[in-house]
Amino acid sequence: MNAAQRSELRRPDTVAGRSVLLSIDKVGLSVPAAKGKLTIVEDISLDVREGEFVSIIGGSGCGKTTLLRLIGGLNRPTSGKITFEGAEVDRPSRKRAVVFQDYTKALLPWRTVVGNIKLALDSGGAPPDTHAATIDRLLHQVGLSDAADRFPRQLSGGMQQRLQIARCLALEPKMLLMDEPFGALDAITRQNLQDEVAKLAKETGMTVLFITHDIEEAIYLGDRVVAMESRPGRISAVLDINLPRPRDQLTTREDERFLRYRHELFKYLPRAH
Amino acid sequence: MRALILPLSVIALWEAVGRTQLVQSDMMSKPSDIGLAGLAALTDGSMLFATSQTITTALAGLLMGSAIGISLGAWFGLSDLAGRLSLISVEVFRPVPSVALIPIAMLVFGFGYGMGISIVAFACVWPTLIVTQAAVREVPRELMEVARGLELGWASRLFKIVLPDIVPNLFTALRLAAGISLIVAVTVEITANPLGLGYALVVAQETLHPATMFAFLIWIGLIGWLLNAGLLQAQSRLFGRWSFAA
Repeated sequence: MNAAQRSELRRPDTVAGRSVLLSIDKVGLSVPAAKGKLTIVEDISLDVREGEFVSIIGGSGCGKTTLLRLIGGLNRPTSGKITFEGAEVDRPSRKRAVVFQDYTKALLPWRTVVGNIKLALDSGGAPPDTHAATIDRLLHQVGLSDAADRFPRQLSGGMQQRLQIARCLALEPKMLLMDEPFGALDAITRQNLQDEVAKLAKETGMTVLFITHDIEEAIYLGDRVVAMESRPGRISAVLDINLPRPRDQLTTREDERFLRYRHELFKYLPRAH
Repeated sequence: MRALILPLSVIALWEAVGRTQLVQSDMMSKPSDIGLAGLAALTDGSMLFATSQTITTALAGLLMGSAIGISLGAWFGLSDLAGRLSLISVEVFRPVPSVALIPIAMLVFGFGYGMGISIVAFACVWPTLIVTQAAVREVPRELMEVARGLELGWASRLFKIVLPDIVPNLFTALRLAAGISLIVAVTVEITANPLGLGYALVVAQETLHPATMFAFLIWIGLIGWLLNAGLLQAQSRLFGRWSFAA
């Protein structure tokens, strides 16, 4: 990072002064390989504040999904430490809900839309007589009110991903970890879901970590964009995004700053030579 | 209908050969004699009584064996450690022919249901165990991680995630085991246990009633076929729409 990039590291006003929710300190993960060991990610340090929306971009195989899994507690780092609300992350938690990229495998195909959300509610502490109202609210929030009794296979890809998001929201998590959630969706569905996620994040005050390989998506959604480089996966740049909210698919993307961020981040992504 | 031409001609030929008395044998019977003997055994109740004994043995053994097989399979599939530790034991015990246990079972239980049921149960443990264990391992990683993320306990994980996901495989395992249970039940009756259809078959043979013997043989085949057809039917009814394209 040079001085010019560093000057961009001002935090957006929306999250200034809030406490650090997630702290990643020199985290690395290596796995045994045929020759010695293979380093997947290395020396990752990042603080995420409460209510912040952080996008992580990088080419395929750069370890961004691995980083998300480490934060989720699905894997343990082999070096460094991840702390969440001051406590070390050593297992998955309802406070850090993961939205998986492959919604077809993350939903319970034998349960309806309502049934899938109930799975999350039943495992929580809320009294069962409040479930019906909560489910109504969540379905409304993600726009699935008309599909309550359908099974996942009867839903479009976008609707299935909405359902997965609703199930995560049912946990009332402090942090939402999204792993390329819109990677398999068509462009129009994708834009709609981007706006919905931005709106949900604002409504709930949730902290969001959003992984994508799409620079524009990262800028459009993020308060900050973290760019990662490959082999081993490392943070190559962190860029603050100072764009007004609510953002708009047309005007935000045409904003001169948006284009500048895009230009800036483009340098950090791998290109075919 | 055309498929019936061959078997019907064979039966007709068999009947004709029997009537012309070209072949003389104590063990040969004409299809008409077999039909009459079968009818007699059915009407005097002996066949149905033997059937109930065999079915009781097969069913009780099937239930016990698959309960054990499914439980162990789920355990070995869910816990890597248990799966690894059990590997050798399973591979040592599984190839033991279940009928080789007849002498032991006879010592422990004596003649009667206990012996038959225990051997059938032993035979049913293995297919259900192996199918269940493999199915549990095939549960999508994402689903298991969703369960971890929801902080589900082991019971919720098993009953809300794993078992529903493998229900179709469990039914296949059950169907396999059901076929085995009938075979083993009859085998035990033929070789040792004075009960059921297998024993009736042996008695008919030893008392030189070939027609009755063939009648029981055909009846056993019919039960086996009905059992499998019924389970297949039930499977497609219950789970025809259960398979989900990923």
